[in-house]
Amino acid sequence: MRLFGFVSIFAMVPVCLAQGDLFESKVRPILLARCSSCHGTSVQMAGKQFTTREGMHRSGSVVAGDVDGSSLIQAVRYAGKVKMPPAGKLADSEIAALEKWVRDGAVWPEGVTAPAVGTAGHWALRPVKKTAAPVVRDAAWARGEIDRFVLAKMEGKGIAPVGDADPYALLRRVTLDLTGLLPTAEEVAAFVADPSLEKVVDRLLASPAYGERWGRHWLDVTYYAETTGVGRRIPLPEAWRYRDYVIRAYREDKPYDQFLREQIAGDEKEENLAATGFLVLGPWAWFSYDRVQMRFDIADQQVDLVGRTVMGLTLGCARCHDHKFDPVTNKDYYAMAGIFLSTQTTARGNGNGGIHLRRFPETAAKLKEHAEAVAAWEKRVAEVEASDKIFKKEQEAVSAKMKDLPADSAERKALQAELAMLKKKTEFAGDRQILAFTKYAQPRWPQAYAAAEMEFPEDARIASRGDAHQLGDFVPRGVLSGVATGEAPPEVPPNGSGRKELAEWLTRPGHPLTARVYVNRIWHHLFGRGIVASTDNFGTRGEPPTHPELLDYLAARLVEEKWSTKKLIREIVLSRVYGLSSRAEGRASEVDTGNELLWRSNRRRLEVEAFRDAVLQASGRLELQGGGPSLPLTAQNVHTIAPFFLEDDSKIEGHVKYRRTVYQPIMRGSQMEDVDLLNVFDFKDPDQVVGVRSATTVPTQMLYLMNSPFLQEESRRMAEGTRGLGDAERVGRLVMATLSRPATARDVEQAKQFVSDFRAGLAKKDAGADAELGAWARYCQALFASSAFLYRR
Amino acid sequence: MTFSGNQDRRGFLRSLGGGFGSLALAAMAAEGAVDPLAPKTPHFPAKAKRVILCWMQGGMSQMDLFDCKERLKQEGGKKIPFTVNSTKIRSEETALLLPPVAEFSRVGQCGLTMSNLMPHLTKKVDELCWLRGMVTDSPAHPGAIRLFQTGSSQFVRPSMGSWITYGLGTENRNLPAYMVISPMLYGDDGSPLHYSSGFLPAIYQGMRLGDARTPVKNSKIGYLGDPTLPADLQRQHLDLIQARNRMDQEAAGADAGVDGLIQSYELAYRMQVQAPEVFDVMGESEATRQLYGIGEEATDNYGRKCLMARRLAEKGVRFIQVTDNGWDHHSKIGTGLRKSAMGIDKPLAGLLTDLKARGLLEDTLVVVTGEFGRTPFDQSLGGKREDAGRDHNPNCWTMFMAGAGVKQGLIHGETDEYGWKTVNGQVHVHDLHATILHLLGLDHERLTYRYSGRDFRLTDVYGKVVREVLG
Repeated sequence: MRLFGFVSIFAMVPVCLAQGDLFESKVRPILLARCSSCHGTSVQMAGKQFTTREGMHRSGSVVAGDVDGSSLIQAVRYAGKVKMPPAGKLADSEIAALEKWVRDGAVWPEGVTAPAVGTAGHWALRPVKKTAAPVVRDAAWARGEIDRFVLAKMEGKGIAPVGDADPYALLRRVTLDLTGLLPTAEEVAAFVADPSLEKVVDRLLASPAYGERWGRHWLDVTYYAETTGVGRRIPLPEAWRYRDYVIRAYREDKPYDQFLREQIAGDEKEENLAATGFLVLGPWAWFSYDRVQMRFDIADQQVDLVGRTVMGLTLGCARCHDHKFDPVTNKDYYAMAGIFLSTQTTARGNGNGGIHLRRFPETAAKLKEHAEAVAAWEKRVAEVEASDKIFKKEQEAVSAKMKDLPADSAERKALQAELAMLKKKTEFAGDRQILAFTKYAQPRWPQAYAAAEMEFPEDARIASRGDAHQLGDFVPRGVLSGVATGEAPPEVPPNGSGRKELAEWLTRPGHPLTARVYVNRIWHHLFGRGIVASTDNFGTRGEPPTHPELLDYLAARLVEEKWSTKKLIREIVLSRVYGLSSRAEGRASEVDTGNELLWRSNRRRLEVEAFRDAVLQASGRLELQGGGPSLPLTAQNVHTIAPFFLEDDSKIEGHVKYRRTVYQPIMRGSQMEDVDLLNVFDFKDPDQVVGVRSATTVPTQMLYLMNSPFLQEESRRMAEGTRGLGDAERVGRLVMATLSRPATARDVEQAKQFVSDFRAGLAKKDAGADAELGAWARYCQALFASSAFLYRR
Repeated sequence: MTFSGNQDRRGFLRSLGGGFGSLALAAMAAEGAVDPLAPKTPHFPAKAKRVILCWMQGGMSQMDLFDCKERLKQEGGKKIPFTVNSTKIRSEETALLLPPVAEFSRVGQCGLTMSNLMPHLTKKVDELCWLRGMVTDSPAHPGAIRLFQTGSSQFVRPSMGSWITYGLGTENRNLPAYMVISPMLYGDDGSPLHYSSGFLPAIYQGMRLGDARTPVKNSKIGYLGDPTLPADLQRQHLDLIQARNRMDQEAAGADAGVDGLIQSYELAYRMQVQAPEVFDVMGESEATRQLYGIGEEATDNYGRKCLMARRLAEKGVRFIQVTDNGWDHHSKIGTGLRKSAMGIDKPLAGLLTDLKARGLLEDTLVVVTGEFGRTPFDQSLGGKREDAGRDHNPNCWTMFMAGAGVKQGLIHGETDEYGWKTVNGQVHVHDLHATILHLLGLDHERLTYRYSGRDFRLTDVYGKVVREVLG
């Protein structure tokens, strides 16, 4: 029976509960997630709108009861000329749901005629639901549930995964992904002899480098940097403690819920003081004539930080009005803002007192240790001063003798030479340098930038258009009313800021966003693209998940495994899909160019940290120890004697310079000249929450790879380290050190040819130079500068 | 070790894979070119060969500069007589109409009434093509900037410069095809995405010189050359790098990212030779530097940028963006706007004069605009009425173009009596994009790139060429 249209059905058929259910649980989510960006409230391509009852009616795309006569069904079946959605066919189950809905009369319940985008219907706010992995045709391919989720999607599209990666590529991939370093020649040999990935993964997860790699990933979604101020480089010499806290947390596999609780409200316990660096280190000016507005602006950025980082929501929008797209009201915003307004971030009193510092507790042992350090330092100062005095006296004595001698006498010339020697001795004694820095190196009582509770917590008042001077109603401190966790929202006690309650609420197993957002971040780092590509935006303006069931499976697994990051990573990297080859071939490369369905491994540029660390590792210069202060000494003791600004020409201290990149000083604005490559290769802007690093390819980078002293020096060093070896062995060592695989005959042939040609060229230019070494150095540089090194595949 | 041209070509072709769109492939086949930046024939003949976008980030105040409103002058200080749609535009309860902060007079023959804030530009009005009915979608910077720069306020898309470079290639293989001078990189308003190539091949990405925080005279493209190595050995070294890149493509399969890398290397190598000289504006005559206001405190920075733009245009660079920021006058607009206007007035007028004198205006399109306009009513962020400024207004603003293919002395579009809304001759950003492409000989509906199963365009499903402005 063909009915007249769509609206008549609404009027005639009483809404059957089951049909309404299908609409609410299946149909509307599909329309919202897959159709609304082009056929929604703001954009209506082809004049069609599918997010309201009226719109659907007017579109004429659905004929109630007539599945084959409904153009919407034709389009989603990809049966005719119009194929919708254009980005990719719906899953069979989704198409079936739409068909059933049309067949049953296309019921659109009256109450939801105009569903506001981003209310309870939004997928990310529904409870996490763990479903069994689907049955797949190629059951033998799948190693575990993750594989079945992924394969099912591919089979739905009629494509198949490519083959597995070769063992060299796989070991390089997993070592880079888990530690940010390259596998050593021994590790490569061991893996080839015993290709047990489990062993490798367990070794990597237990290595200290794992914490450095994944700690840095977390720092990307914080505002961590070691300077502050808007436009000013005011050093924050204790900021490293937060960085070290994060790295330690990953090494120890601190459960994610606990990790979050400590960062938001951990200052209750002294050992976690540094954890709240998460909240207090930020891109705010802590000098302003308008203190009220400043406090408010800081709280605003803290609300936004927690929103984006933990929940994938952009809460900042709600400062001035109810969020247009996500379920966050103006009131919700101020409920959370009150929590941070009741939290101390900057020092009290003096307007430019800086970030709030808290001293680590005094214990007898620590006091003793500190006193000893101070005494040793004082003794050292005295020694340096004394020896300096002796040097000075010696020099004065010589000068005095010279005074009355004729200008060109031999005796005077001899004395002049002696004086020059003495001056040199002073310079090189090292003590002079120490003297210059003694002040900066003065031992300090350990302290951390940390949040604290305000003495009198207060609720925030709605500020008209975000202006802290135009205040309206008070809003009780609390959490987002539109995000349900299955439990009653927490009550904030009158004598607390509410941070503890906020942290407790965020880490409830029933919170729909926290686990989803976190597992998606992990997935992003391992696959180069999140299941939700917009890792920091799970709102309606973010991207929908490519594998929603898998996302929920992983979120559920995280909570089941007591929020263990390592266990989750382990399960993911041991899947078959993680170990696929990166080669694009077959039908899949035409059907799914963007590799959304993960039929191959994504080839990705190394992040700048991994690139720099791998270069230093290959050249043998990398210093694996790390931790502790990273700013130049001249930026230490900033609150007493050091200059208030970090000078533009500051140098990184020698003992820090060759450590892993995560331990280098991190500035706001641009990075220090010694680590200029961070500016060139897309390092993360510390002022932003950056879940997805950009990976640009621009000639500036190629100029760096060809011409930077850094790469040239490390290449030369690597060439020096292999001097004296036969050509084949030398190439073998170099290729293994950079590309983690044995050299091929072609590699060796190419190297020999290049070195022989280039050596001749160099010799012609400068007969005195070590042309042999120069040519090999350039060969090494070419290894670093080409795609096999720059990319992880 | 070197490769012969044939091997080179095969390597490139092999590496192309499915990564390039139909237009590029068609052009390559037609011209036997293997290189995506080779000059391509446009869809139809056109005068404009390149674009200089003078980007006034923050939003210029139309009713204080170009769009004189008598009623606003008369009713300044009175209540807002029209309804402000609160979901789109913010307004304070206390907001009142703010009269223009500068004096206006009728200038030139075209009938434009312009304020006295830009005396040098005033002399050029008859050579410019004025659009007074510009509209955009978003009242906030991030969305409005993204829409202007990429055609989408919501999604990551290729930038306009990338589309144009993709469509036309470049005339000078020794310089970047697409240069962005001093863009904002940080905060909600700045992002490398504004000049990114999105899903287009990476080679079409804009090359940045400096950033908004750094005076352009202190900005340089780093590591431009290696003084220790003679040119022939540098080439030999690069040949090894490229040979290894191709070996990797063979071993691991084609990859668009590696394609971009290979092409970027060639470009970088050629840039080493030409770029240092092009960016050195001090090589110009004293008279030219003065024309642009170089050496004067207020205009030195923008003057240098404009002169660089002319030098790049002269060398055949396809798309040049010359950024000025700081137009977001929410408060103290009286003093702030004066300063901003002064900073660009002489440099812009100098650029137009210079381009014309060298015949470059014949085939160069100059576009001057920000992302939206400003409100006729005031905003007192500091609380004091005398410090008032104006808020963002996506409903209308004034921009202008000059040069190849556009009518001179035309005033297109009209706003209401207060400068609040466009009433006539509305031009949406999508329409402007369509028009700019048209002026370059590109049909905005045919300049497409297939990505993830769909043909994308700069103008998405929108855009209508503004025929009225075509010369």
